[in-house]
Amino acid sequence: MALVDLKQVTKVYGSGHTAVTALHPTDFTLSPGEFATVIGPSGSGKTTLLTIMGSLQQPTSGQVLINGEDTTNYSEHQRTDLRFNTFGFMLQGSNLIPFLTVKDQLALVDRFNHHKQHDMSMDSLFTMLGITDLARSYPAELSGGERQRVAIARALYNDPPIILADEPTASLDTSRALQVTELLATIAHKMNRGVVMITHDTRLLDTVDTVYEMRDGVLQKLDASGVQKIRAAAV
Amino acid sequence: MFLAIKEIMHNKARYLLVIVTFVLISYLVFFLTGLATGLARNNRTAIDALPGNYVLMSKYANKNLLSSVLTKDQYTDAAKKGTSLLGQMTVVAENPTTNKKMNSNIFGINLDGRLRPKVTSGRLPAKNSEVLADDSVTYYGVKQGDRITLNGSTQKYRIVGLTHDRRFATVPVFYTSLATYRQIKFGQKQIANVSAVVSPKKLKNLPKNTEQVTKAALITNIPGYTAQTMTFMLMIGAMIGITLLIIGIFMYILTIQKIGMYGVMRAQGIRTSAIVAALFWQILVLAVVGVGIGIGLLALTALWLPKTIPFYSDPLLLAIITAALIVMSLVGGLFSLRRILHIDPLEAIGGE
Ligand SMILES: Nc1ncnc2c1ncn2[C@@H]1O[C@H](COP(=O)(O)OP(=O)(O)OP(=O)(O)O)[C@@H](O)[C@H]1O
Ligand SMILES: [Mg+2]
Repeated sequence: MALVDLKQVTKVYGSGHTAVTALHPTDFTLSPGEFATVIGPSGSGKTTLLTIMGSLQQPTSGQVLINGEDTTNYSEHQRTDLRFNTFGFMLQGSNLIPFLTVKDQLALVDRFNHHKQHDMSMDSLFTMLGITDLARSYPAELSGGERQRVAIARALYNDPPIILADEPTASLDTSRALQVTELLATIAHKMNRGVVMITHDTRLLDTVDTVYEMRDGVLQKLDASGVQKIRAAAV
Repeated sequence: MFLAIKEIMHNKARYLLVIVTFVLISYLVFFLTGLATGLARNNRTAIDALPGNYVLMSKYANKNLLSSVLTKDQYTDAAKKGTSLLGQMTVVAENPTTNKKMNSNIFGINLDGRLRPKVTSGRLPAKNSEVLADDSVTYYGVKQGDRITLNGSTQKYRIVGLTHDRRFATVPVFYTSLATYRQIKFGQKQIANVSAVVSPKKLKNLPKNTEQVTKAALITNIPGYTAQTMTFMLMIGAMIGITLLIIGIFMYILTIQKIGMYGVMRAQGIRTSAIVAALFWQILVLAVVGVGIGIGLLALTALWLPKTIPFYSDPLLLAIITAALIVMSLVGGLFSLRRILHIDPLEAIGGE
């Protein structure tokens, strides 16, 4: 069963004269263990797609199935709990709470989730991501790359079956960007999670299973030759 | 609580400002309350101590004890068992050795009767040239054993004992025999007038031209009393109302600044209720700390304040005002509540 199944999902922002169609009817599926990326120019609707998948907003039309369940008519409360239990987010913009140390960012999850055992303890997550020494630092004291790694730790901590990452490599240099991408690939392949990563950077596609291209709100799945083409175009 | 405390500890300077605001407001309110209570008590403690809730006085006196005179004809019927005669007179007492003058009252009473005050030091007057004084006279430069003149009399009166908390119309009371009172007020002991008759029970068949009032009415009709207490109550009420506005606006501004961060929390699947709880915990912590410091400052002030300033801290009243301040600041949090309830998780995107 697919983790995510979008059926003919559309999104129109605003109404009347100012209406913007950010997403034309779109189908999309994500399976456990799959690392998918969405590439495409700025303003093409990538973030819109991701936020609809992640229950951060509702589509204008179409159906959003998560773990086979139709979430289209979920209440705000249900969607909040769905986000908490099902998704690990790395959003475009801020992902960390400024007044909490790295350790407390994760500890906060425990405060709202008393019963669940974690697949990976906080310490082993920190070790895996190489941020053990940062546990007592505040987000403002971290570099962009460190912040992204903490955001990954935070996203993984609640053992979500799905990780959604919106340009997680945007503020990183190439080697750091490759590291983060490899990490996301590991999470998908070794931990059997579904991972969707949005990126501009076509150099990061080596470890990716599926590549989608978004153009003006139209999503298209690329085959191997399609991927070759956009990589060549970028060089 | 977790989020509330963590945030306060991380943004100490910002929240210190809120605490300072609480300290200043609560200190001011407590101080005003102390003054109001002190002044009110200075007006009324001698009346509060009257052994009966009903007071018979002249009808024309407009419930003002200072103006009331009852003749023997008027009070004879009422002056039966259980009631007490009271003669009040406003006098200036002077210490003839220092020439220090002090506004005060005489309460002429039957020194064996129910109106006899509790002696805290010394003894009751035994002669017509002896008086018992409220112990606050010591703040004005006379003490037990001193001799004083009353209204410029040639007769000197010795303070043979002290009593506690017996002031009327903001100044101390001297207790004397009825004869002494009549001598000073009417020039001779034989004029058997008094100011009022105090009775524990409601009197029936009131004599001509008299009126029966309750102790409470007598107090509110002490000249200036109601005006003073109303003024203070208005000021205190306004300050408590202002607390709501100031803290409400303060927290609202802080909330607006944190919308992006709240968006992150909402995106992470943290429930609105947790964010709301953090807001109100925060207000509660800040208010309790701020008001606590305010109470501490008040205690220091009370130690240091000259005794002649009417200041009295009534623990019950302070507790009520503390509760009111805290409740008001929590109500102020409601301004922010509306905004928090409408936080969209999408606000996490495009934040800093
Ligand atoms: N909340 C919104 N209200 C109105 N229009 C919006 C909103 N969010 C996005 N849009 C519009 O929808 C379109 C798609 O936006 P989206 O953020 O999905 O693009 P994107 O592919 O993520 O771009 P980028 O690579 O710059 O992040 C854009 O034209 C954008 O202006
Ligand atoms: Mg985007």
